[in-house]
Amino acid sequence: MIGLGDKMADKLIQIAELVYQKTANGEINWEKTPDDNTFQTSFPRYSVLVQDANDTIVFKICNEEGQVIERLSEGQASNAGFANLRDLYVTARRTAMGVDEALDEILQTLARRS
Amino acid sequence: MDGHQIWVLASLVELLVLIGGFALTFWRIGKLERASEQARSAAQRLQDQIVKLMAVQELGGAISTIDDLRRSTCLTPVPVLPDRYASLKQDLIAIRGRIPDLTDQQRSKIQGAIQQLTNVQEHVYDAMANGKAPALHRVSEIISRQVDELGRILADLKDQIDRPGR
Repeated sequence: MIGLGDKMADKLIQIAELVYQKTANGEINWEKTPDDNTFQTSFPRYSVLVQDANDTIVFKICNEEGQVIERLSEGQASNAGFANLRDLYVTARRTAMGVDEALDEILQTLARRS
Repeated sequence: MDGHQIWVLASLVELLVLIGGFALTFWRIGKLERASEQARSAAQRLQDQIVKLMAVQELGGAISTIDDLRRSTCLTPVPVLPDRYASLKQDLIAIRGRIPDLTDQQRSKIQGAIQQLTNVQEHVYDAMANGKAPALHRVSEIISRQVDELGRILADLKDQIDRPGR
């Protein structure tokens, strides 16, 4: 767990914000995991997981071997001024589940029928 | 031309021949050094290619093993699964380290596969700890996607080896 206010926590918040922005812009691909409530995206040497753990969103950074090396909870993020962790989880989930594609296809099908 | 002049001229000619000989020797040494450097570079390139070729073959083997495990997941005793996935994860970590010229995208895909193998391992452990059955259909779907992604990387790497410089 991080002690918010230190330099490391600032970097973690900065990463969470950037991941949120890039996810919102469609620049990051999220994947499903075996856990229904966890989604992941990977970089060359690290992975990021967002998880809905008992109704609290947790942002995790994993190392090259897949071990969690840092985590940020919704409460900690919120206290540090980043209140979009839940939005990040929702968007990551939508991306991983292909919700946009599903909605587009339904809209197209309905448009053809009308 | 008296004897002294002939001697001076002969000395000059001898000096010129000597200088020419030195120049020729130095030029030959330089040429040999360049040839030796080129041979060393070629040997290094060949060694790198062999290491890469072996790593690519190992990647092909790891993909087959992951796919075999995915297909036999339902038949494999659940307590054995985490160790099997952990072993495959270690293989992928080692193989990634032996292919230096992977692109960032390829590295990210391999990292994704390593992370998913870890996720599967933890999912099975959690299920066992809670006395539940792991969601093997979901595990199979996820592993299948990793096999596809790794297969694409393998095809790209084989293409690079078959057509170097492309």
